[in-house]
Amino acid sequence: MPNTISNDIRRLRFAHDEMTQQALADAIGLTRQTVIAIEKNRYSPSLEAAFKIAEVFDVPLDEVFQYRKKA
Amino acid sequence: MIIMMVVWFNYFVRIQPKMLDGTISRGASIGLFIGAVVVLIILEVVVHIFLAMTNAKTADKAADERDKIIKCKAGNISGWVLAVLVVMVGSYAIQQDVSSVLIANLLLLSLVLTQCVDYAMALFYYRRGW
Repeated sequence: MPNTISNDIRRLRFAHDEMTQQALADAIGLTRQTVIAIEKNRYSPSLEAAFKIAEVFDVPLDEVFQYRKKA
Repeated sequence: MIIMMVVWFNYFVRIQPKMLDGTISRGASIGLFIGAVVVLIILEVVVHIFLAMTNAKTADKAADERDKIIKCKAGNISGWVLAVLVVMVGSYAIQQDVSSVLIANLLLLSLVLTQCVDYAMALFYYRRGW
């Protein structure tokens, strides 16, 4: 079920030396399956996980996640 | 889930005819039940060892936030299923003059069905998201 929060994690991973999903998962303390689910917009992470992801990429939170209002 | 379904399906197929015609004793019923539990534990241990060996990297990882939420959501739904089934078994037991062996097995069946729903919902949430 697609949700209203999208993200640029895939692009950011490739911009950071083609970081693997597993490397990102290890860096933020989640499983690779959860990172995959986040990338595919099938799961919205907790606020804490979202901040950790932004910290890993060293970018503001809104550069990683975008909120779109439902039409 | 498959192991659980196979073991308990086998158990209920064995016990159901004897239970309905009232030819099974309490001791035989408990014996079959303990046998099913032992087989279930052995199969679960074997499969978990196999899975841990084939997925060594993730085998000892704790559940993350998504795993916990999925477990909660699946548990919430299966909890309702269990409540409905227990009320149905209770209502049946009050209205009909049935043996305690039958009631115990109906409650066991309720638990097994609830666990199946729990696994099915967890699978659904893992695949579809929310």
